[in-house]
Amino acid sequence: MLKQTAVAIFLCYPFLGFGAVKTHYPEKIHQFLSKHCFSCHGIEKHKGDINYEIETKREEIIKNYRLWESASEQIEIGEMPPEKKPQPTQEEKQVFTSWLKEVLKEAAEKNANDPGQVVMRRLNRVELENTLRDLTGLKFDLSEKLPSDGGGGEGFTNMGAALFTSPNHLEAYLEIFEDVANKAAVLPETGIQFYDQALGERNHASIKTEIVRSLREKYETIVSPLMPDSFEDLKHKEYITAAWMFKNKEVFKVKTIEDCAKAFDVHPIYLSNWIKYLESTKPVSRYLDFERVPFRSLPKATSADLSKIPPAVTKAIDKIVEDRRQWYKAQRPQQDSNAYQKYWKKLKLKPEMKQFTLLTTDAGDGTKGDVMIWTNPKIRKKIKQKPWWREMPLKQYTQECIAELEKQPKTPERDKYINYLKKQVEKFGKGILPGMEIGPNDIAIKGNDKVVFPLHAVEGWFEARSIMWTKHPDLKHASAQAAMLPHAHWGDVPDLVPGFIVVVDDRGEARHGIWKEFAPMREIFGDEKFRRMFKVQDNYHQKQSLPIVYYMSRDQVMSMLPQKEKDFFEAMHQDYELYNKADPSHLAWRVAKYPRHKDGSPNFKAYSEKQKKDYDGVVGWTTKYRRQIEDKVLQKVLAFAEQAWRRPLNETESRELGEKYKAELAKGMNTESASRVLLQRIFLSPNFLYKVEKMQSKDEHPVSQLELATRMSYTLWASQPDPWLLNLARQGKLRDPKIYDQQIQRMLKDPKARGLAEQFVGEWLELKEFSKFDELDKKAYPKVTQEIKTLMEEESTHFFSSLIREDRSVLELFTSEHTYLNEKLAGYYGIPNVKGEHFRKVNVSKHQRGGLLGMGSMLIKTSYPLRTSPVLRGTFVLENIIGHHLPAPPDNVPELEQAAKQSDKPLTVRDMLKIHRDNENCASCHDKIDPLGFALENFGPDALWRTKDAGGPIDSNVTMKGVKPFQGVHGLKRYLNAEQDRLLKQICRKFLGYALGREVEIGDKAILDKMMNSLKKNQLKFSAMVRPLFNSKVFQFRRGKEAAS
Amino acid sequence: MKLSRQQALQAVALSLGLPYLEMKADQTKGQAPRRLGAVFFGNGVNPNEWWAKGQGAQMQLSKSLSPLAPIKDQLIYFNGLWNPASTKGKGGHYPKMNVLSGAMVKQTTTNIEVGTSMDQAVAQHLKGQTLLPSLVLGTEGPRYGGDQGFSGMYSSYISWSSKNRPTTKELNPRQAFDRLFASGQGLKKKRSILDAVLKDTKRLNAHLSASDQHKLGEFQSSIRELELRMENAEKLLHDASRWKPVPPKEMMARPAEIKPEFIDDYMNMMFDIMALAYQTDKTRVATFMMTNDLSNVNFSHVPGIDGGSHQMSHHTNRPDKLEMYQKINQHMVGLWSRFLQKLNGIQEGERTLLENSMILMCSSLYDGNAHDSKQLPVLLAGRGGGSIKSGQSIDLINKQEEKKMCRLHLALMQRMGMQVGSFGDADAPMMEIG
Repeated sequence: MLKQTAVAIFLCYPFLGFGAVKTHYPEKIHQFLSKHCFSCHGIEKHKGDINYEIETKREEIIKNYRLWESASEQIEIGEMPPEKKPQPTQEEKQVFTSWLKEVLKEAAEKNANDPGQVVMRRLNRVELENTLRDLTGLKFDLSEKLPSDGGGGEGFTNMGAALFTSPNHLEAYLEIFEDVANKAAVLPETGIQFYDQALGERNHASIKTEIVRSLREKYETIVSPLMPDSFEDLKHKEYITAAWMFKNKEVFKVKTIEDCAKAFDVHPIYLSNWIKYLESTKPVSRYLDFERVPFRSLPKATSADLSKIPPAVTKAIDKIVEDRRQWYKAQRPQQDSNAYQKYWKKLKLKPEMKQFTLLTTDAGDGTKGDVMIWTNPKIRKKIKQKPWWREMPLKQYTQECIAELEKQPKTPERDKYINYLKKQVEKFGKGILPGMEIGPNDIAIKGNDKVVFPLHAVEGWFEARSIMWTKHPDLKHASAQAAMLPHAHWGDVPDLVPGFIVVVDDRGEARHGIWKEFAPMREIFGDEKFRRMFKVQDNYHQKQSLPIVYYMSRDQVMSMLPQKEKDFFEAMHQDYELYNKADPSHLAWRVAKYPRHKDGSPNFKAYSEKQKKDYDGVVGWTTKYRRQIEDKVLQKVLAFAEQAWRRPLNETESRELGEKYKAELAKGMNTESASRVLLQRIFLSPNFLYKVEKMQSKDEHPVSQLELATRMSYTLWASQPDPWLLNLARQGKLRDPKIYDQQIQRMLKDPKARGLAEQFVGEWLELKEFSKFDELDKKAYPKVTQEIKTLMEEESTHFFSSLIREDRSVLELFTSEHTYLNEKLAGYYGIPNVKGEHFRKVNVSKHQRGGLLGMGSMLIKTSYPLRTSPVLRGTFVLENIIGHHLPAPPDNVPELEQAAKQSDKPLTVRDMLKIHRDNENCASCHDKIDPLGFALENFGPDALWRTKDAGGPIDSNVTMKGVKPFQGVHGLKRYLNAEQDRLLKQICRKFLGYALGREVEIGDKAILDKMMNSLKKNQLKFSAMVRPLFNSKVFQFRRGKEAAS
Repeated sequence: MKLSRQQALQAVALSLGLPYLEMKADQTKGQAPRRLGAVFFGNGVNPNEWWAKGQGAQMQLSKSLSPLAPIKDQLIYFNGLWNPASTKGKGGHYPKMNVLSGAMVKQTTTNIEVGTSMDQAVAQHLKGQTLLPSLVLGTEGPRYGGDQGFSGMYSSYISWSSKNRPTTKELNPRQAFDRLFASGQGLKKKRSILDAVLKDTKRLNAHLSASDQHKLGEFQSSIRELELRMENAEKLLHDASRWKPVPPKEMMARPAEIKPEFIDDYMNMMFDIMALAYQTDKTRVATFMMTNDLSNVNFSHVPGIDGGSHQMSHHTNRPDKLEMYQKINQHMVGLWSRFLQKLNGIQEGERTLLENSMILMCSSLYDGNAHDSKQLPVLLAGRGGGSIKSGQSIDLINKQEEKKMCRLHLALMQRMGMQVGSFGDADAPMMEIG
């Protein structure tokens, strides 16, 4: 209440003359005043500029209620008349104060529901940060950039009158908003997106490149986690078997591809791709037929039981999978293959292998020109003694084998085999065509031919290099594989052996045929994840015509996205379309070959009719799309302005913004740069920077729905209304009681309600930005690091915002047994078993903490650099929590030192304060203050628990007049709980002051009572305080005429 | 008493009814201009160690003032100056925050009000002559809470642009530095944005209540101010007749984005920026609040200081606390002295920059323990371009009228070229300073 005395002093009474003045007080009151008050607060003396000896009517008393309110309080608490003066009797006091109470009651009633004077509020620093955050999705810390805001009203930084604007502010704004605008990408369909870094000036080409990049990135983000990586991930067997299952869906009694995918735990999209591929006959490719043909000829299913798949099916599928595995290996080297290169060939030999085969396939296009030479073929065999390996030419090894065979008993088969081998041995060192020369140990094999070699229990390797005979007259028609098989292959040579590259002359004709069929396989089966991803990313501009298997088309990707993301993704593609079509480089390309001047500019005079027409045509359609971009971008900027200004634009505003945009374009700026100028202009506008509330009538009137939305959101979020709230207001639905209430509840539960915790609770309890509090002595308390202070601030904010969002009892602020901790902070407090970085709710009652009274932030803030201060802490509890207003301390603090000197032992803080209180002047307040502080003495200046101070034990006993003695923080909590009514009144007052951005006035008594009743009826839930206020006239209306000040 | 040349001139001017100040202003043509400054620290002083005695070379300095020895010939120590209005309000701190205006501090948490401060009056008078009308620096932001019905903002401002509007204080060194060099021209390309926004303002005004219009007026005038600054920057660039400052031998490096963590570095950096602003003639008026009032700044790195400034000011006459209180005073005077010596090392023609300056140093309380503002600790350094008789201690404690601090303000304002005969509660300038 004393706060209001403050104002009283300034109610100037221009009574400087002397002489009796007729007053209109009731007689008894006049008697009281002249006996006790006029001598100091009268005509002759008006101490503190207060004069009661005036001609005053009841209405005027009511008008100046603050002055009287303070008089009533001062008399009631015995502050006035001063002790030296004669004191009124109890009865006199009674008469006076009850008269005043009645007058004040009338004043309260008369002013009830007065919305009060709310001066237009600028967004304070935090509100600006939050609003920019919600508009851009970026985080802002403007504390080093903007001048700090001061506080007013009930002690909050959201009060209009105390929020000043200076040229320094504007300079800071200009810098901040330029910075924000430079982070904006402005596109015709996706609209305005903000990036972490300034994007800089971007031309058409760089914007287009960026669109492509972000599209590719988007595809990457969505698809990459679903894209198989290793060969095992590819799950060929499962996919092919699932495809076979789908083919036999009647037998298996399944309906959809998804069912089959589920049965084999594979992705339905890839499975549907597989099915499409396996059933396809196009593109024509022998390479693909290794899969498609055997798949189509798989036997039919016979049973619905998946564990009873016919072995023939399994075997065939295994073969398909094995062939595919081989092809993956060959795909990469195939790209660089050519006839002139030697290729290393290696075949692993195992003791049980009896033979192996070298073949030259004709790659399916006839044997013309196909001759392959194996140079230096040799067998490397493991032996049991040093040097552990034996190496010999294949020719020699074959001869050794023949010798071994000859030792065996004669049979016709043996002889036939020996004969065959001897014939083969003779092929070494011999050219098979005229003019062909090869090394003595080399062997040449022509197209569609093969040689089987014997093996005799070899463990080791066959190694050789293969090369095409490039002097063949038909080389340009040649295409062949030099292949190896780990067994004897006596039958026809196949067209292709999986896994071996096809060698062609890279200038020859045969290559076309090979590539035509090989390339589709490479496309359809990308051999590495990134190649597969490339195909997906290319979706941004082209549809794939091939039945690619590990791939997702644009539509398939879209089908996986929720609607909102889908729309955005779609818009990204449309941005690309527009930017691609409007690309000025189209014109450059088109006219590149047309006549030009020496400087490179088009020489129109030399153009043919067709060229002219062509030129005009390209100019025509690129311009058309450029205009589309311009128009669409402007629409996006206007929509942004509506969100930023928290209301629809009127016609003039839209027009002017449009004109400004056109003017910037005319200066040669592109749409994005022009939009950035507009953005700065939108941000700098008072429509953005101030919470504008228009005067709609000379009489008291409700604020508009949009203004109401703004009041709500800045109260509950310390930020702008979101589109949902704004739309309701725009549609005029916000005042529908049901909708209004739903919105309040929704907003309180929203994570953005953290803004309320930081701004309202943080400022009320003076803990906002605690991490910047720097008074504690760093040398004495090195453990209170910046990190710990930041965590303490988070503890408080976390606690407050959880209380709000979970809608718990407001009293828990002070009486809770819980707090929020992470490992580091818990460690600091000495609380075990809290692991990890994240904050979680912890019951800390055993550790003497819980709620505000155990928080490091509050305890450190109310300490001196090197010691605790029961005075500061007591004042904090008394003024901030209980809401008791203390008068100012007297100017001269008595000398305590003298008293201390007389004492024969060193004095503790508590002792010193006791001496202090022995002085009557001090006692009146410090009897109330100090004991409350003593209750917290077990918390040191670093907020840690202690049992000793200055060598002596801590005494946390509290004795106060009229209160049952209690002890320590637990006792204090119980005491506060007992003082519930005062605490509730205080929190309601504070919330009212915060929500309205003004001081609490006498007329607010009615709404404060309502808020308190609502709290009591609803288990003290936080929302129970908010709802009556939000539904009140005080919150929803504004004064018409100016208030008399 | 012998009249100084200054006083003689003034006497003549007054008797002739001439604006003698114009004559005064003429003196500075072609010469380096005069600079005005005010430096503030919160929580008062240990009165036992705050004094100076004697004149000129014989001047003796107390312990707290001892760091000023190297420039004591340019120092005036005042005994007894005060602002009478500061003792009228309730409470030990907020009503005293009128050091540069002498006006009554209005007890309110809403429509705060003191009075236009003398530095801002001068700044408004000199507007257009330099890039910035004034530079207003500090190290601590405003408090959002309050006490005794006063807004906490009062403790954070000494400079007031008008009675209702504290001059925004620059806390970040980089921002302050940039303002000296980027302000003006850098804004040019924003001109069209400012114009457009001004239109919004005009349109809005028609729909607002009177008090909201007043609020918006602040915004509007700030825009105009910026626009003026732009025009002015352009004009100054091409003004050949203007006094040309001597460029610094070594340019101060642009401060980092985050202010220095070590408090001495922070204060020195702000002083350096103030010096640079004078030296490059970006402004001729600057104020710096080393701390706010009620600040608990902790100079714990100084041997013997173990506690916050506000805490120590409540020394309850304990010797140990008094000593710390004194050390805090001395430390701040030391930082100020470093700045003065820096100014004195900068030559501007015949005189040094300090000799061309008038830098006030004061607090809003005398003995903080007693919340005493019946006299204030006030020092003045510099010779005001030869207009001040420095190197003296002036004792006015027993002279009711003469000890009004506004008389000193008025004397300084006149020396900055203002043609005014009264300021605050003073109807005449202080004659004792020269």
